[in-house]
Amino acid sequence: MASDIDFRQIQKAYFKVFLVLLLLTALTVGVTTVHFGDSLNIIVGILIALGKAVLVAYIFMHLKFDNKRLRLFVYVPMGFFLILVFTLTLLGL
Amino acid sequence: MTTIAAQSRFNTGIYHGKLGMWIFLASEIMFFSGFFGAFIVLRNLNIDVFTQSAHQLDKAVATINTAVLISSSLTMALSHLALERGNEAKFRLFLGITILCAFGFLGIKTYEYAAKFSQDIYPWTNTFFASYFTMTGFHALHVIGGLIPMLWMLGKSMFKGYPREMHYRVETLGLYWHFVDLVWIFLFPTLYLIF
Repeated sequence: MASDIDFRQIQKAYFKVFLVLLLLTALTVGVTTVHFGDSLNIIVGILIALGKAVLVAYIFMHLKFDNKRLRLFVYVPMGFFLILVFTLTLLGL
Repeated sequence: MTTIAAQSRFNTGIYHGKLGMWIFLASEIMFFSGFFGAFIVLRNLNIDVFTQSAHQLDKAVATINTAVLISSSLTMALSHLALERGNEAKFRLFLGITILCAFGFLGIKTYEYAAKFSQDIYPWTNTFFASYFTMTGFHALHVIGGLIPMLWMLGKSMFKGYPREMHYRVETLGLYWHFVDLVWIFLFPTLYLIF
């Protein structure tokens, strides 16, 4: 997969993702000082974590470049995970 | 053993190691889902205990640890890229940094645990700390589990050489390592931030 140009682009993408991940980490810590209300703070936290997860899975874990059917291995269990998290969280509110 | 290069299957375009790792990771997602589900249910039942206890955690240290783990993910990806290009020196360099970050993470985690123990906080203190120690403990075990093959690869590369064709193995290990990073990405806000 790696010609020279590809290599540069991939390396650049890795560094970009790294920077965005650090920024999102700072953001997710930063928003805890703002109080949106209990439930909204949880949702914001989950959404930022999901954003970070997508970046890691698609770029670092090459899901973006591999066979699309491979994504099922993430979508199905992540689907169950999100259903579980959202249902249980909503039940508690 | 003469054949080393992994073959991509003609029907999926994926070699067996990668497919196997993804199946394993799918099961790992469900493994950790159980912890998160239990955590939410316990939290709903003991909201006061959870809020109070979560405020006793060290947010700053955990933020640093998050940065350490994200950095290790970057260097892991770079080490695979280097070996794929046949640059073994760079592969060793980046893998070495990844290993250092992993030890750094474990060191910081040990410091955090020790600080809790010194305040007389243990897994049996209450349901929040039971969840906290179980979840971070299993995550730390995963970090150790990633460290072992990393050290093996680094050692092999230093003493025997690690051929470019083996970059598939590094990619597969990288998948696992990024997953460990992913688990932390969800653990961090859940335990430290949302309260």
